[in-house]
Amino acid sequence: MISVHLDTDIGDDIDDAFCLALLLQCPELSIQSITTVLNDTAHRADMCRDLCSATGKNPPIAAGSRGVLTRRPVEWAMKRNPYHSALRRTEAKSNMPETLELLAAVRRSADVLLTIGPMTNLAMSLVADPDVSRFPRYIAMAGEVRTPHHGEWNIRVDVDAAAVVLDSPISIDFIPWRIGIDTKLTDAEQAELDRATNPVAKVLNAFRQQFKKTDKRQEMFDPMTIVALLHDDWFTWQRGTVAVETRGDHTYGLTHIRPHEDGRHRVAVGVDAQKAKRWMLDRLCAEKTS
Amino acid sequence: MIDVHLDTDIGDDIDDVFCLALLLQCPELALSGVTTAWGRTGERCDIVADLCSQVALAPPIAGGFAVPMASRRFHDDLLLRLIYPFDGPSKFRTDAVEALRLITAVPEDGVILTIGAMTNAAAAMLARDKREPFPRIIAMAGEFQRYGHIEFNIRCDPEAAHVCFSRGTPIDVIPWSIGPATKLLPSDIDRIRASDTPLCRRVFHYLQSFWKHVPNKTNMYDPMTVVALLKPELFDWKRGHVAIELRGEHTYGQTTFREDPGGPHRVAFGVQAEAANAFLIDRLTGTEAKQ
Repeated sequence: MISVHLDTDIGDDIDDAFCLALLLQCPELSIQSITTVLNDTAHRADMCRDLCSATGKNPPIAAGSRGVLTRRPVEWAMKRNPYHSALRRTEAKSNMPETLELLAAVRRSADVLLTIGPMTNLAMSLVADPDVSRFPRYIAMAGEVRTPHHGEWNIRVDVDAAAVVLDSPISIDFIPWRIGIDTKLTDAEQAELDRATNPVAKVLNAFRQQFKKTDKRQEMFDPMTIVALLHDDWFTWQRGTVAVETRGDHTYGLTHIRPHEDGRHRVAVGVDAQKAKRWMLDRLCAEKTS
Repeated sequence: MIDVHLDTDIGDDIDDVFCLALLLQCPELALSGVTTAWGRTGERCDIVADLCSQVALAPPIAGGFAVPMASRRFHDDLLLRLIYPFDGPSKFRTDAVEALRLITAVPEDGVILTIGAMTNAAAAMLARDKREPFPRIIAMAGEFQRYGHIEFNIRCDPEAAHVCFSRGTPIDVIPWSIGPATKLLPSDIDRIRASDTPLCRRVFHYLQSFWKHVPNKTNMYDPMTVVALLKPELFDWKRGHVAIELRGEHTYGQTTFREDPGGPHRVAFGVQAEAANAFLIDRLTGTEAKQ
């Protein structure tokens, strides 16, 4: 079993919920812990609890940073809160000490770290303890390196946090924005998921129904971190060093890759979208996870 | 007749030669002056004068600013480069004052073509009050469709480009991606080689000299400014605002585009390459292509 920590801004785009649901439906993976990031993180943590409890699992879940490190924030992003209510509310507040403790434990013992939201929590963890002599395999949904002038959301919301993470000597696999566009679900694929009846899919579908009331997007950015973890060979990778622009007037938050063979970063520049989506849907719709 | 002023870094890539030669072969255009940009500007003037003499023209020519306005330089070593110099005695030297005089003399209804670093044009703009009208510019500059590409003319002097693009002056932009799209075919080169005009012979001479250093490169970035002036319908234009990144650590010199129907800039996002190249070669050789 591969132990995985998930850091998520679940509650904005729907793909975070897909990502956590897929994680729960993979028998090869066990969730070690979860942290949430950006704005109403307690609410986001409740949504994670709803999905986890559908499988009878109860991993530690901490509501992380509500704010961001950057001094040039996206104003409207800081006012946006989760799109729908969790099925139940715990009235908990954000808990940054617990978030940092969970991340410290992840850095000591977990096999894999996934970040699918702004990198604020991880950046704070790296600032608190820069020693990365032991670090789990890290896959991030972040950045864009093929579409000109596209400032990807997770990076753009907290550029300075991303700079802390990217400048640290840890190895990172990136699922950039374009991969999500390439794996957008069709109406038929959504209908297939509508018919799924396993407990995780039921909670996911409840979230999807809420999401659809205000937003129609179906790009699968975040779940591709899980697909990449278990099916690395379905992606085309480019190795190099990824940097984020922290000073530009017109390019602030853009990511830039300098390709070289010894780079500590890998960026997915292509995906077998049909295979990736088919595998994801099969897992999400499966009645049993093992 | 449209008064046209050319500002060029001729002597590096070969497309400047094709651009000037095309200008000389367009009876709709009156070449009112030529200035040179970037590095060895005096010697660049020698190539200009040589080409003009092939059609018995002697427009005013001046070697413009030899160094850029930019404080963070990418290419100091390239300031010394001249790939295909004139093979006779040099008659020119850098004379930025005369270059400024020539550019500022372009009438309001004239056109300035900038096909190198925009240092001279920026200096001419800075010399004027912002409220004074400035002639229309057609610039080979920037790139908007290729991720992370910092185009050469901009990266040589991003500060100068910023001056030009930030003052509301109407500018039509031929970006980098138009050049590979209009790469000449061997049959196009054959037509130039077969032409017995002094100008075509000289163009072919410089092409051969260039190819000794950069074999077979024929991307036609710069001549497309002239094609855009006379045949704008061959391009897919988008109107808006071009901006130059000046503060970026990784993106210094990148160009960005924000679409706006009321913007002062037009960017060519596509070109009918076959028709554009046919126009170029027909004009250069003074013949229509045989079917």
